[in-house]
Amino acid sequence: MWGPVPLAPGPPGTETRCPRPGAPAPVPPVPTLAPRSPQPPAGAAPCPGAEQPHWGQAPAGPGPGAQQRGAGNPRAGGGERGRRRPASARRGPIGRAARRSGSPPIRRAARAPPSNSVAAGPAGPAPSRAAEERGGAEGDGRRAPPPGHVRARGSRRAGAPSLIRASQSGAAGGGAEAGGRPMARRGAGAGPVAAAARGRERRGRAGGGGAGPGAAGGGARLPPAMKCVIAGSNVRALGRAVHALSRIGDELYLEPTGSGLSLRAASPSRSAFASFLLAPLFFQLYQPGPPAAPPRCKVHMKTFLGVFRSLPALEKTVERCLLLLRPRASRLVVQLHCKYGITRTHNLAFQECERLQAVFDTQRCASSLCAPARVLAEAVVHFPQTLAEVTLAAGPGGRISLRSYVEDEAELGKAMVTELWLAPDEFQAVAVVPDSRITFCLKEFRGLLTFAEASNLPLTIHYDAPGRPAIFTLEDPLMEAHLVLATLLDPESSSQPPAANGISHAPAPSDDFADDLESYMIAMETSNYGEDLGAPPSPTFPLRTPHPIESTPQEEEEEEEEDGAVPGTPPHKKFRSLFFGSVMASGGPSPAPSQEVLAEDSDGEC
Amino acid sequence: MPLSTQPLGSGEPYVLTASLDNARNLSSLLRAVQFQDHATCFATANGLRVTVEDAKCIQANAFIQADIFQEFSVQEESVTFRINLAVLLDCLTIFGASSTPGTPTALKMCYRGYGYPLMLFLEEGGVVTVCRINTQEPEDLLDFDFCSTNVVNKIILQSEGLREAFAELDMTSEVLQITMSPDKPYFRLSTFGNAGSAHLDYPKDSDLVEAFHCNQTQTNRYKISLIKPSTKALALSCKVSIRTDNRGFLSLQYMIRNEDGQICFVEYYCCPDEDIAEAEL
Amino acid sequence: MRFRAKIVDLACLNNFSRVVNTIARLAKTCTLRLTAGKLYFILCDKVANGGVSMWCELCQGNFFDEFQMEGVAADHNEIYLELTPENLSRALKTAQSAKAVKIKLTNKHCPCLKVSVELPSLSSSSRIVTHDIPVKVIPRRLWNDFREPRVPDFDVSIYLPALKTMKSVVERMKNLSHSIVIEANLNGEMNLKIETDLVSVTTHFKNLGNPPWASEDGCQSSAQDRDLESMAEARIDIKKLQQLLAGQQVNPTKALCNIVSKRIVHFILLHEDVSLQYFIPALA
Repeated sequence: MWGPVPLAPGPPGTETRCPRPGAPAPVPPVPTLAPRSPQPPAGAAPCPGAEQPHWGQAPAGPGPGAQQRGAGNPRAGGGERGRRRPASARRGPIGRAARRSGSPPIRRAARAPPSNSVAAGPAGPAPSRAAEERGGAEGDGRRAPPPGHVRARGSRRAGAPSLIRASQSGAAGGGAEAGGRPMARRGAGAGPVAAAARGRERRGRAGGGGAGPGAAGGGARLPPAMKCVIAGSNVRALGRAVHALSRIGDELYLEPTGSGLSLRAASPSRSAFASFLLAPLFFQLYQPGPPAAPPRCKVHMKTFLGVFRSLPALEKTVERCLLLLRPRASRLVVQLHCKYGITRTHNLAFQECERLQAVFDTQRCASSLCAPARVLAEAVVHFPQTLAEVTLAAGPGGRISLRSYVEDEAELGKAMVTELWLAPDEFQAVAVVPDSRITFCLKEFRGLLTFAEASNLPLTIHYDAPGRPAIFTLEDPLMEAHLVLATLLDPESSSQPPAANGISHAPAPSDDFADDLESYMIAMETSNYGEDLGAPPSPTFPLRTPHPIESTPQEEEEEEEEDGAVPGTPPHKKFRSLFFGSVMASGGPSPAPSQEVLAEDSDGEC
Repeated sequence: MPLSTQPLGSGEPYVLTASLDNARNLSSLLRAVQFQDHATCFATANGLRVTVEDAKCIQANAFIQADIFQEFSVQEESVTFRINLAVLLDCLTIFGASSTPGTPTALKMCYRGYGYPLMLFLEEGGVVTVCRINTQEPEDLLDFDFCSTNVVNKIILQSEGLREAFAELDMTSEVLQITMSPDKPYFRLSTFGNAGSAHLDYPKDSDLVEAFHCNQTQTNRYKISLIKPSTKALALSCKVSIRTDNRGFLSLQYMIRNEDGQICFVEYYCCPDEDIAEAEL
Repeated sequence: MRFRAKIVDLACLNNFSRVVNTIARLAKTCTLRLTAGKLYFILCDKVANGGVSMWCELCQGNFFDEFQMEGVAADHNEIYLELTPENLSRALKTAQSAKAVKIKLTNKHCPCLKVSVELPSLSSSSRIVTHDIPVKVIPRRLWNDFREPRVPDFDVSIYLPALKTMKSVVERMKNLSHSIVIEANLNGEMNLKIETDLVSVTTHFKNLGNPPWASEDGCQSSAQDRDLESMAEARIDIKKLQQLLAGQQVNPTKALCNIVSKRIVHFILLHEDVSLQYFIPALA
């Protein structure tokens, strides 16, 4: 079908192939390759050659300007009939105007609304986000669309975050409630409630004031809730931390506190949690914002990771990084100051959110190990990338082993099993219960190891009985990192599941049971925007709540199926959930304090 | 008839004959415009222009001037044919796409005229490859009517400064917005993606900016999916000239230095995104 | 049935890894045949003879510092195992700096080849990594399925050009066509050809030389009477050829192919004492 095209007799030439107007005209009648007639007629466009000097280097032959009509080839030439115009030129007003008037139309002048005040005007001191994005950046505002349109768009855009919020809150179990009633918990204090209400009102309007230094719209600028500046090498460290966190979950929680900026993530199945705390010393400038109302927010991990995607580029080009949290604009601004004076400004949508809090206590872990990250990284490298889990065990003579975990008995005969022994003197510290062992996911661990190796830090592993979480920690004066991973329940001991079971439907457990749980439960606490930081979450609260649980039909189904298994723990995998419960406010107007545990399959995770 | 036995000089005369000591000087430029399978080749005595278009909104031209070739002869005023660019590139790089210093692939390219295939003879280290690529009826090309008298703003940048920017474009944004202005922000690339907007600002006195001629503030949006393919040209180029005319049409000219140090050009034209422009009316 | 072997020399380890990597790229599962003096990796794709087959043979003495094996019986002193070469390749991948690698046939829960790698460590004692690679022991009655293939009664035998060039050519051609015609004559000429609606491409190799095949019985093979210029050709699946060229890591000192017109192409790659034979059947 691609064969030679049958051809009418006669030598192929322009005439034969251009029999009539509208027929394909294969040869552009204009020899656009560097026309040899360099004399531009008076008033005509300069010949392509005129372009050249701008390059500072005159190319021989056809230059970049060659596409333009050659001087000697007025476009009125007969061959011109065959040439198509670009879509927009044909359809658009420009094209029409051009054809009508024969002169370059001034599109913007014609189109500009009678007043160019739209961007600044109606939006008032705080231009809508849409205006900021669409109009504000344009200095002259000539393209500024009519107000009604901006509004429409603006409101659509503004709607997006709340949609995300709603849906995500839904996914996050109790989060829906949390999102809706951030102020409820501190019902006593009128102040925070009012503030939060105002916040929502703003959100409802158009999404807040001008965000980002890039916003030309101006408007009332309140001080950002958080402002930090990070210098060169620490930008890389931040980038690596984000990469490690991106292995954990889809959302990144940011919380500036007095002790530093906290970055956190949890896996959808709540089987993994990680936090990086960047100390004030980590920054060139660190202003966490008003201590009375610490802003908390979460952003899409993908989006945030996008800013720091290329670590080598970060290394090569970025000199400084500015982080600004502007709750009024619902924008987290990440600004990278790069080589050659280039600035990259990312205005990221965020959601105000509950605090993501893992409650764990390394002191309660019976075993701990500390080794240079490199030793562990070199150990892990022997395991295939496709392997989901490894078992860490304390063997005779203080030796530590890592072994591929083969989930299915049936797989045993098919899968390669790798085992590695490390002598005690490879560790900086070993304090383990003899014969203890735990099984955890490799993916998240690898992420943290990569970070630790690049930072050249020792890594400490705290663990306890199988089924209870393992805690991996890194510390240095500028930052600390925690990774909390669910461990697999030992098959042998699965008949008597430990603590974390059945919160949502078991009768109120005994106190020591709860106590046990507290040590490793990760509670997702809904806290008021103006809540005192110091108030500890109350992870055990739901345990002692005998209220009936509100659960979705889906969860009910699962409960039936699993018959007493922990929601959030898929039946086929024996992972203990890390139990991110949402601790609800009791004073609010909610029907009942509810405690929901995410019931998502951990398959995606491990 | 086996190609190998087809004598080069017999039969109908070739309307186009070109030979090149290093086929990569051609293939790398063609790769810079390869975002669609088909290309229109247009040859005059001055050289070869290869044009690729998409969506009636974007056009890319690679110019290979005659003196890049060791031999370049066109028997007619102009010669035009359409060809599958992917196939042409596979043929041109039959001995490998990566450059191995010291062993260039020599190329001879012949075309007998309308209805005939394009013949390629490639030789490297004594091994000869003969390719016969069928040509197709050429189609009309878009006329962007981009005229330098109508250019409003123009910036010449070292390509290095745009490479990372283009590599990290937020592809969830439908458009790339380009602002050029005599005043701040001078030169700004913006995207509006799922999770927020991003702006990239270049100061006009940056070392990357070789020339800055902006007469009035212009902000235009272009479909990001159409602009993205020009990244290929950007990767090869050393400098890029960014121009917009009074209609908001965009011209990106890439200056590319080949392995032998010669300068060639690749040019992209793009229409502003009309959906948005119309929607805003 | 017992088998244990040990490699200490790094260069030997490296060579052995390269052979295993090659096998892993060419076969998902294969048969490992162990005899007192040799190892064989065998692939017999019997699917109506539509598939390829492979026969790779190496002398244990050139790789292993220790090599002990006891076959099924004294008069059948051999072991046949089925395994996934990818596993073995993976186990050896992180063993590049090993002090020693031991391979042992074990049967704890299931039959396994246990690869133990002794790695240097920062501590006083070495770090030991073991990989248990599950295998299936192939019973004796099935051994006949894994006989060494006969060199076919070819029409033309010819040395291959530089594999790097050939690989590049075949890779480009693979983008253009599903099948490739490989043709050669006794004058040291070989052509690779594809032809489609869009394009036809032929790459001509010259002066390759034809290997001398001495027939044992003095009987001339059919190649002997051929016209020197006349081409023997076979059309084969281009992906299979590309796999061989891309997958091979043995860097053969000698590479040749035998063409049985319209039936099969037989490739032989030789590197010192490693020989890899690869059979690609012709397409109808």
